[in-house]
Amino acid sequence: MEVRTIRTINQIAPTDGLNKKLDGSNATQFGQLLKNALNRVNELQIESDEYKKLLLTGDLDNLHDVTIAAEKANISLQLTLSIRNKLVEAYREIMRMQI
Amino acid sequence: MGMFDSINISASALTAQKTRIDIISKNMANVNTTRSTGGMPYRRQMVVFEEQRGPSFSSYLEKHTNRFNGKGVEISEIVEDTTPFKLKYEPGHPDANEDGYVMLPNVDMVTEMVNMIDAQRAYEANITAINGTKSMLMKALEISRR
Amino acid sequence: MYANFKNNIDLFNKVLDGIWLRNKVINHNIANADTPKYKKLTVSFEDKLREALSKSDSKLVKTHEKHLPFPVNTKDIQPRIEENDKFSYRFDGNNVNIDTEMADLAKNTIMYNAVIDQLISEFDKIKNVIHEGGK
Repeated sequence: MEVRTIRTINQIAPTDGLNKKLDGSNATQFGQLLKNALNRVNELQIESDEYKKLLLTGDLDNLHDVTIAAEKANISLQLTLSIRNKLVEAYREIMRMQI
Repeated sequence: MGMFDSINISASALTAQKTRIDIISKNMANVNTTRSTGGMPYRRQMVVFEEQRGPSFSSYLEKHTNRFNGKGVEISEIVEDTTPFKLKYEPGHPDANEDGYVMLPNVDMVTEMVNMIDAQRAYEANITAINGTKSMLMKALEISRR
Repeated sequence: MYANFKNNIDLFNKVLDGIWLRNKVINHNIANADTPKYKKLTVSFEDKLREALSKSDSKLVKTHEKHLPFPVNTKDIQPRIEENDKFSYRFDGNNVNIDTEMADLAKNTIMYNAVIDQLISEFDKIKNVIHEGGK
């Protein structure tokens, strides 16, 4: 039975990805994204409230304006909550990992 | 402005047509009235329709934006028909003049009937308009029901 | 998703505004069907809308200042009220044809309901994605 010498494994060349420095720019980009999104959600809520005020005082011109604005605000809020739930779940998942 | 402007417009027309029918009925009821105010026979009455517009500071602006200030129609006045009275030869009538002619109201039943039908048709058209607006509003509410 | 709002739902909202205005104007015409000297009014916005929607395909450029402006995006489109003073059939100067107005009323009502239905289905699509995609 021949015993072959174990050839030395070539050194794994470092890939470009590992060469990239981990800087914080990605984090700030994501944070900015979140902030913009939350601002937009807030804007939709405020717009919906304005239309509701018009409805209550009888100054509303088009009924569909208030229903559409309410629905937009509603949906964006639902989406935000859903994303928040997912993020919290992901965080919990990570915390549960045993190092 | 308001979301019920459309309905207000149609409602104004309903009121106007109803008044018109009232005047027509009055004319028809008095077709033979020889003694009215001032000793003269009854004089036929007519309604005058007038378009109602809300206040607008510039009609040019109004035509080129979506601000619409139309408010329907109203009866601006009720006038008397100045066509001359009809003359009928009836010497035995208490109101006959010395030639034996009686002055009768200038009301023509056929004209009144035609106007009555026209007013009814207009009334129904405006009712249909209100129902259309109502169905649109209910549909708009459906957006938030889901 | 907010871009989706901007494109689709705001567009529907604008169209509904135009159709609602047209409803008001048609009601005004029907109410004034017997008013002497009244000329009927019409609302138009579909032609400008069509132009704006095909803007992404066309390469229209304003090379001369006398070129007519065309709507760049759907936000700029406003419904236009026009007075239609075609000759009238009647002695009193009124040119409202009650049958035309009733037909327009029916068409307009159906159009409004149809656009609302499509809008509802747009919202439903998004809600579906939110609820199902989260599972």
